Amino acid sequence: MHRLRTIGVAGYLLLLYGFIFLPVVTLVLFSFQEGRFPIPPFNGPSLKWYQAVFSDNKLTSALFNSLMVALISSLVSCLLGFLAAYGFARYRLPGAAPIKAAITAPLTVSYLIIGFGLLVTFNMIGVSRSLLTVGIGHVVINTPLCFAIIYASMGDHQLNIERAARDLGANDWQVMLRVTAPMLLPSIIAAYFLSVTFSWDEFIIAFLLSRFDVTLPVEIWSLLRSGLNPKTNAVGSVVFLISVVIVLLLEFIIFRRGAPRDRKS
Amino acid sequence: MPSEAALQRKGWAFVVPALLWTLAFFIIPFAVMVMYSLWQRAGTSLVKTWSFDNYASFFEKSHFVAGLINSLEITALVTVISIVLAYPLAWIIAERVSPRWQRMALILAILPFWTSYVVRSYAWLLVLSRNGYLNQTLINLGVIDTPLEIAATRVATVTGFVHFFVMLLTLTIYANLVQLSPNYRRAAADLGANGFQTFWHVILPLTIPGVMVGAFLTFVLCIGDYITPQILGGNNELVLPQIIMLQITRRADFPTAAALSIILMVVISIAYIACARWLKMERT
Amino acid sequence: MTARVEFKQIKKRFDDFVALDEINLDIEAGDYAVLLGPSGCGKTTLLMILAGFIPPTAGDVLIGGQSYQHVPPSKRPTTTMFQDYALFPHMTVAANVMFGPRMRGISRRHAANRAMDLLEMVNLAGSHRKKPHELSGGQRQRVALARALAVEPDVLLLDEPLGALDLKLRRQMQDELKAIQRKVGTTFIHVTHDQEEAMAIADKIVVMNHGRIEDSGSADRVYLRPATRFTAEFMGEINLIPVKLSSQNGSSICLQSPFGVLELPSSALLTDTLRQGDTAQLGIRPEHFRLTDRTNALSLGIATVKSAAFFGAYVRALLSLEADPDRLLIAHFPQDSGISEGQRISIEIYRTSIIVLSN
Repeated sequence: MHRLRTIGVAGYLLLLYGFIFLPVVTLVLFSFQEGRFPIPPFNGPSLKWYQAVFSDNKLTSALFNSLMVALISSLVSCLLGFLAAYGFARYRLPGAAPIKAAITAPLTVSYLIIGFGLLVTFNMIGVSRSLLTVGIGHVVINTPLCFAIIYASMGDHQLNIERAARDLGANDWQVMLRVTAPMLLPSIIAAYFLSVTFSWDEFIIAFLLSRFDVTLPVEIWSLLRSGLNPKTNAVGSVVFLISVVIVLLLEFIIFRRGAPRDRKS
Repeated sequence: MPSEAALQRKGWAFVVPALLWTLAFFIIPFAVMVMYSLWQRAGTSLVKTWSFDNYASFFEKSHFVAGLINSLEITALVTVISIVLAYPLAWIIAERVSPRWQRMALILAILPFWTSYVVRSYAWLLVLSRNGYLNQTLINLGVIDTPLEIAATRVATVTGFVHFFVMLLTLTIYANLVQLSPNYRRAAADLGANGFQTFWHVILPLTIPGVMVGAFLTFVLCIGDYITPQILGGNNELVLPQIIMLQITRRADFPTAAALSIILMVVISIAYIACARWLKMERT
Repeated sequence: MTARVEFKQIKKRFDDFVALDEINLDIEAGDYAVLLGPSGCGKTTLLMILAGFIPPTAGDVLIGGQSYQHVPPSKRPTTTMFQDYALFPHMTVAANVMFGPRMRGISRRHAANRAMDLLEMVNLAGSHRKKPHELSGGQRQRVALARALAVEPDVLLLDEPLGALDLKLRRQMQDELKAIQRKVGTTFIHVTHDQEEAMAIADKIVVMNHGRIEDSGSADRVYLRPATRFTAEFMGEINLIPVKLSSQNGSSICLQSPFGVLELPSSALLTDTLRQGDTAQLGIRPEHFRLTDRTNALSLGIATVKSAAFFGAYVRALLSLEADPDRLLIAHFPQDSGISEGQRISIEIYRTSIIVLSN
């Protein structure tokens, strides 16, 4: 009985992890394909598709564009989110509930609708599409995210620390910059990196709001029109590698908290 | 000590930047979209007279309604399958994996999450296509003679979606399971419940609200997604976002696209209200 | 319904940390026992071993003379009332109390009847349809008690059950717990770090420190004649003064103290390991100082009041003896004694209330 359960558990784990990893393994494996199609049989390994990726100017500039949009738009999102969270958490504001709801509303609306709304608006007032408009769109979707994460980590227990700082002579800005922000740093960093990965990977808004300069997901999208191609595998693998490195760095450097087991008497 | 009114002004000053941004780039664009949905397109120009013709035409044209039904069917299917697959995985990680390896198991379970969204659908295409990995393996094993036509069907779309949402739901359900006080489990065991009874009467009911939040998230993200159905489902059985994109990119019919977007939003809002009301009921 | 509990040489190690070191302890059937000690002393670990949530590294626990090694918590005649109560938040009060009987296969109707009886006993019969979050802290605590008693355990384990309550409610709940225990007759084992709580309810107090039992016995015995220096200090404020045993005969002992040679009855000596010439600690509880003359009293001479504070039931003063001016002694005097700072008073102490402890 016990044995049977263990086998069942192990089998389920194997099946689910297999399912989860199947596409990724296929993607990475066939990025080393020698032939022209990323389908079995595998012949290789070869690095020629990686070469093709890095010598493709459109791809490398799209990669650069994506990074820029992600890093800068996330900075703006984090700043707006932090300030709003600070205002709501530290001041008693009558009628705050509908305003909070308005700020977090973009979280529950499809990116397609947000992107399309911006497209018609920019169209109407004659703003041309560019990386800037993409960035604006990404701030719209990431500000509520940053706000929610940072607001959730602002508890009352920090209130007295801030009061102590004020009591010792710090003014409002000094309290915010030297006490509140450093205390909230883990959640601010988490919000920033989550926002970076969302923006970096966002397709539909970037697709609708960009024109000549495009971001990486949009460039990959146009690559897909050529059908199955090991070059797409290679780009995908590079993007995956970059994301995984960022995530693992975050995990092992910033959020590594040695958690000794609770020893209660 | 500054007056209460002065303190409030200061507080609002912190909130204003985010509020202005939301107003300018979210609320106003939404209003503009509503306006567009009431206008008409005639040839290449806009007719700025107000009418509900675009909404009326939604119910007249069967392929629009069919798109909405496809969207709802696929979303419901994906949500149910994903929960059914993810809950046991989250439970095994939380209960059966030793605490030392839990974080690692979790990171592994959601690692493919970090592949680009577009690329992930493409990777499933590699697996599911006519000459792809899956068909070749099944033929080599002698299970089938002729390759299965999975790509460009609803099965492919659902597979791609389930892959994504299993990872998302495993994360949310796991978080829900580990934040339960271990004393609930101890108390149930102490009062004579066996493993299954503890799960059924205590753990499962306590995690249902978290599962519902995850299901709602799945619903919203799934029903509004364009990429997965476009890459994996192809042009058969279009879903609503695909139809909206067709109006925007092919036909440049912004008024119709706007009306369809608002219909999509209404559907999502109904789901949101239902979910919120259910959660509220659950709490009392 | 009730059973004797015996711990036999229980040891528990977490990695290289020794949580429990050779615990031997008997608790009589129907007793209200309190495990008392500072946090980290191993008292909760001992409770969890008895409940079956944690296996001991070595040793055995007998409940009603029977060993329960490798028996899971659900099959033991014990139930636990958890510190956070662990009431199931999605169930009503009645459903919480019915949970145990239902899991043991008792019919819904019988379980409901039993639940109502128990809720009546804890004065919550009117709240059976409420959810736990609608109750106050004290009410939740009572529901937890009713839920634990619903399975009719032989031994009820209470893990710091009053820790979350405010002082007034805590005193009230102590009385209720004790009354309920008397009524049901079940053996109660209660863990706390509050010595006043322990003295208020316990038939038997077990003082623990660093994974060992320091002392066990009735409240007055443990307070007035503690077995160890740790117990003496943990049970309440005490003045400890280094002394040397200068001579000993059948009925009395002589000590060299900072305030001269003291002659005490030999019953003051709480340890039998002291030899002539050894150093020891003289223990005086603050409430044992007296202002007036009394026969059989030992005069400590003139003292100066360094500070005095009104504590409600008594005045707490810090005294400096003329004979030993550098040492401050803590003394309690009656409310109406009129003690004030700077005053010079003559004090003495009832000879039989002094104790001598080993170092």
